[in-house]
Amino acid sequence: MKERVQAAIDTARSRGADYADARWVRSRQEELVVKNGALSVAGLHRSMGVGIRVLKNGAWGFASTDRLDGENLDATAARAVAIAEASARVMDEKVNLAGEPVHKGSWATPRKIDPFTVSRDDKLSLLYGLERALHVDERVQVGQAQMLFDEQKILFLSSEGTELEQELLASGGGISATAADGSTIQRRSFPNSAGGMHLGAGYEVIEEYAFEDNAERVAEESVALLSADPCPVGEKDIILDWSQQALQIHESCGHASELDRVLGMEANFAGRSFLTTEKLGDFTYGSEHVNLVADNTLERGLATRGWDDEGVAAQKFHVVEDGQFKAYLTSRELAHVEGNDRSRGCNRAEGWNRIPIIRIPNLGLAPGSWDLNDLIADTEDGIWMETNRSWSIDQMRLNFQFSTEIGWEIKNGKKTRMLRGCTYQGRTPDFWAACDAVCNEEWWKPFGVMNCGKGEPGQIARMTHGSAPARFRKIKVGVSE
Amino acid sequence: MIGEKEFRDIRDRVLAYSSADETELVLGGGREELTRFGENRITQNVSEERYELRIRVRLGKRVGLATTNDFTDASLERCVDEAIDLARIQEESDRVIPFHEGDERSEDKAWSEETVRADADLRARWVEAAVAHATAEGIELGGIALTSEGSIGDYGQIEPFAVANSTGLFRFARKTRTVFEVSAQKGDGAGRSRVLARSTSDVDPVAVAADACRRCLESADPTQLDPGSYTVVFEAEAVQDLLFFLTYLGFNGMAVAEKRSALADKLGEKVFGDNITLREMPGHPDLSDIDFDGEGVDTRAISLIENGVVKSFLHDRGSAHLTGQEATGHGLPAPNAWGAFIRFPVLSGGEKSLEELIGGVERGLFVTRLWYTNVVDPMRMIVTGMTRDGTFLIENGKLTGPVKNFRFNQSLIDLFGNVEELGQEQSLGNMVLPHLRVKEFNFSSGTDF
Repeated sequence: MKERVQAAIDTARSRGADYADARWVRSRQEELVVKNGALSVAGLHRSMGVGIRVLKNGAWGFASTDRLDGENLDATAARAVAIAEASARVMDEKVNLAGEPVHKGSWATPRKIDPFTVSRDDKLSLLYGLERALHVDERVQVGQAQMLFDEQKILFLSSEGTELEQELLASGGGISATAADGSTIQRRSFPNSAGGMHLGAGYEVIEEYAFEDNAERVAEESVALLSADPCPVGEKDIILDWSQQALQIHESCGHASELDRVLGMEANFAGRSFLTTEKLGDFTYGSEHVNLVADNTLERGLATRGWDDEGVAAQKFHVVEDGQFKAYLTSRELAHVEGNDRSRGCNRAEGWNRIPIIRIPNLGLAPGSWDLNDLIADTEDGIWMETNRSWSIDQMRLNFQFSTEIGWEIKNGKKTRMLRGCTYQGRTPDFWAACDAVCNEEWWKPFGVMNCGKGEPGQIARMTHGSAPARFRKIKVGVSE
Repeated sequence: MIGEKEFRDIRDRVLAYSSADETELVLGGGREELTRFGENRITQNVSEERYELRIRVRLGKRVGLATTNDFTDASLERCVDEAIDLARIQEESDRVIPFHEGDERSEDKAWSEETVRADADLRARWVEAAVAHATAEGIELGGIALTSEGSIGDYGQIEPFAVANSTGLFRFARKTRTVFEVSAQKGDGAGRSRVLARSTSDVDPVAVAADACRRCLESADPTQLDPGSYTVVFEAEAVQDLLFFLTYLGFNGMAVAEKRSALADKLGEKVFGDNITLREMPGHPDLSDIDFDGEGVDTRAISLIENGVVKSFLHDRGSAHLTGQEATGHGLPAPNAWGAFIRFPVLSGGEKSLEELIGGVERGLFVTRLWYTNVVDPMRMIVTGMTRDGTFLIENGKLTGPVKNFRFNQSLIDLFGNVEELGQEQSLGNMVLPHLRVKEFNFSSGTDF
């Protein structure tokens, strides 16, 4: 295959491309979902193809195909060049790629147990058992237990001489119980909502999470929420758990710092960003407790890899340091906007069929100094908010409203009653400015996002947002009432 | 593009390999080309050809699925074997039912040769014309020009264009899609316009750009208004989001079967206003799509709401089985955990123009588009979201100026009970629906722009 991919690059060059790269990707995915006693999603998915990206006359062209004979690959390369020629009709400045050393190497997600070698009997047996355990009460209308394993083998070649092989693996799963009584519906999930918890690792992830020990609790909480008190309306101090913190980081910092978005390249779809270019290095994004660190070298991160999808090595850097906005997420095309001569390595593609675009890397809130028990004890009138449920944010990433599956009122330093329908609303820099405490590294955990959508045509990406619980003062809660 | 003959060949090979009680093939994908622009220049320009073949097998009360995009003999045989292996090891379930039986039918009502012939040069010329119009007004444009043949969806999802199974059912459809969509920005003014059609011949790029630019200029220098309860005139584009969530939350047969729908026990009851009638109308001349679903069931014309009364729900074969109803042809490829989705919605309108709807408002807001709508409380059908790309104050029946965007939190049951007036029906390409005037719509906060 390497020879055919290289031939396609040569074809592009012979047709006048100044630069060309190609990615051959073979993906394999196993998805098992047991819902109410039946395997409601039982899929083994395979896909393979090649995407060819070219620059001609300073303009982009991209074409992809899953017909992998040499003749069709050459035709696809020629189509990419023709598309670049059309792009040049409407351009201002020529694209000028930031430099990157030529890399030759390989990288694979570390894993202890290859999930594709574990018997499906064992997987299904676990899922059926977990799902059954969720039906603790007739009001549990939907029990669901699931696993997902996704592997991508990538060969990347470029006309600059870079040759990379990567084998990326994501593994995870989760359980959820949905209870309803005719007037309300409540869901609880473990370890996370939206399909569970996933990491860049192998089947050991499934073994590490004590699903069996949590199924009954999750189900009982879903039923208890039916009669729990609603979230109070007003201003409260809130402490976000890992799941909600991940969502908060993702939506209000991750997307806001994507440089393509800042420049208007996403304006038609996802919108722009309030972090406009004059704010770089001169904007208070949050309090001094807020350190948001991008790190595609993070152990077990979903975006962790050797190189991004244009051959730039993985990096670690502060997006926000001591509350100050320090860096954008960049690609080779846009690194110069930041004044850099090298990309920060954030260009990734969903698969062989899509062109790489700037994506959120692993992006975490660095640990602070608090013990979680001390933080709760230090909170007089607050809410512990746990497990993301719903999210919405404006197209500049300023006004947001998020909600969690469950909340616990904190009164005079103690967790008291259970709360349902916990919503909070804020304006991004005001919200992060209200952060006065972050728990220490003993409480820091990676949490994965598997379903980040961006771009036209739409692409799904995955990344990890590690954090420890953090407190935010005087936040508007109960906002949907 | 894989044609009917090739799909028949794939079907024959798969059925020959399979020893299952029943075997089904669902083929989706195709070729999609998309030119993306921003900052008045083309920023991405892509072409893909991609397919996904889903092979589903049934062994008694067990089912297995495997997918591939490699249609060689060895790959298809392995795919069949994997699906059978997966079915063999699972527990029996009463939810597994025999596959849909049917005859053979092919169609191309949703197909246009002009769209198939479109190339990157045509799309670049559209962008060039639109940008030229905007540049003259000092406006920055972003957007997409898309042409496709097949069934790759808006978010890259592969939808089916062919379904066949071992009972003899065979459905094959040819479909094309054209989208030209423009977002205009100048300072703090923003506007958007788009055309969604079967054929490239329906695209007038300058007209689309002019519409977005006009709205952009009108919405510049917005003032801040307090959130609260307002009478709102929604342009049809904004109604689209609200209608999708109404049907997704309330009329999905799976949500009804699992008692997750607020309307589960409201069949035959009046829940919405007298003036609300919502029908599913495959064959409507303004709605172009494949008229069978992911299980090969032909999509039926049905009434969901008649004069405010809940008349029926959307069922895939799974929820139909659970509720004792008939499948309505709104299912995704099985198995899935989602249920049924609306496909050809028509919300009946009235006689009034948009200007007449606005003319009836003493003080209120005109909302042109909603953004990032999401569910807050499914049983009360409360959704949240933002306004976007032009929100205006109405005073004494006239638009008096742009205002900054709002966040809303609103029950859809209340909203569709509070519709004061419906305008003339508008065709958006994927829905037919009117502008609406709604009283007591809840805005809970504002934003900076």
